[in-house]
Amino acid sequence: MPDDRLQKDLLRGSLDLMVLSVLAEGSTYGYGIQKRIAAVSGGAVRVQAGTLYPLLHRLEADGAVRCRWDRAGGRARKWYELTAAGRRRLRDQASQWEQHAATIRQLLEAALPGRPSTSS
Amino acid sequence: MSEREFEIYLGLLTRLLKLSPRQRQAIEQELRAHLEERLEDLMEKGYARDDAIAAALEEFGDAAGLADEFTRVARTTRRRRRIMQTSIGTLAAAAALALAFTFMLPEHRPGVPDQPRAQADAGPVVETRDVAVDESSLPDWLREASMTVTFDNTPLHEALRSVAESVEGDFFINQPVLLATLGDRGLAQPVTMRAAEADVVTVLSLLMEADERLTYHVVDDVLVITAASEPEPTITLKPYDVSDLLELEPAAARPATMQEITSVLAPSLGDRGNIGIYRYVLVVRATPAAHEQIKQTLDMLRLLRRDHLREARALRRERVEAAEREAQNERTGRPPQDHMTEEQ
Repeated sequence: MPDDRLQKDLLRGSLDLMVLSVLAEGSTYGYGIQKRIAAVSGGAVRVQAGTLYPLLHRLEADGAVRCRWDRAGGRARKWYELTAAGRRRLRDQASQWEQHAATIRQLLEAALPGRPSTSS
Repeated sequence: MSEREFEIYLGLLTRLLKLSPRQRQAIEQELRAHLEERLEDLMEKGYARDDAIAAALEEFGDAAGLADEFTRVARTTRRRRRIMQTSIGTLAAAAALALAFTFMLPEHRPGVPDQPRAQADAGPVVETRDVAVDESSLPDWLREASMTVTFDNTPLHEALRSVAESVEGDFFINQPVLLATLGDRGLAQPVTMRAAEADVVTVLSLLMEADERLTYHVVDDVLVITAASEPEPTITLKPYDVSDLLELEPAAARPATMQEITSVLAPSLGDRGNIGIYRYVLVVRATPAAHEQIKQTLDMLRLLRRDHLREARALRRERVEAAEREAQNERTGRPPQDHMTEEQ
């Protein structure tokens, strides 16, 4: 199933960026991040919990996010918030990603002319 | 609302985390909140409770792999923090060295007013014990902890508490025993000590020197400060027959499974225990508290295995019944019939 593998590779390569982007919208907890990504992708992208939490802890270790415990909503949850370093990382990764996407888009337009393009 | 399956999973996971008790607890709490909320959402979507529990757990993957990930992340952080300290710390380290420890003992130990002075000519007033600590036996959270000390005629019991509170792991100050051994006055004796970024182990050792009736040790990952007269918890030897856990395994796979079970139990052992494997029996040397943990972990493994066992038995029964039906059909010459299929 090569399609499935591509999907997985794409996800692996962009997971940090997705999580940082969600946190840029405002602080939230692990499950909130997972739900937000699922909602944006129309349910196509489900970040596995077993992947998400070690990633969040790594971002915390890197100083890209900081966290606090909050009982909002009656349940003690660990909330994550982007730090200044996290915002910088988001900007860096975003511009790399945009560049990468632009390259692919251009190649695709040449390879498959007349194909409905998503770029506006 | 905490599902038994969640607790089994989280219990197993936290046991496999090679981190301080506090870190383990934080991870457990974070994941529990996720599991509970996910369960609620899945049930709202119409999942049956058991299916929702299974689905929520499946998204976390196997406990051992996840524990490894968390442990690895935490370990790299620790290393990084230490490297940062040494690079920024050139100045700070020099300052700390210059300050060293100004450590003053009360000239007269309450309770023994004359004896030390009488011995003063013969040798040191205070018998100093060897401060060298075998650090390799200490857990990381204690060995790597540092603190800034500003004790200025601080009562001994307050000094002990502030040292214990500066470590990331759990601690236990055995107050009743200390009180019985040192008395009110002993616990209140003033301590003066100043140091920036000092190793907690060193500070502890110096405090122990202040009064040789004090001691500390680490038992089951807990820092215990107590009286030297109080013996360490005794290590006992107990056999654990785990042959029931191997029931499903082919004989050739059993040694490997025994190793696996041993590695699941190992984190519970503490620093003074060990496990020996004798065929399908584990012989464990450990403190009473560690034995209790081992028993609990084995109970969890048995719960997990029970479900597999039930499925395997059902499958075996089905096969036997199918074979019997086939034999029956061959004898009577009738083709297999649908209605003979047993319904559960």
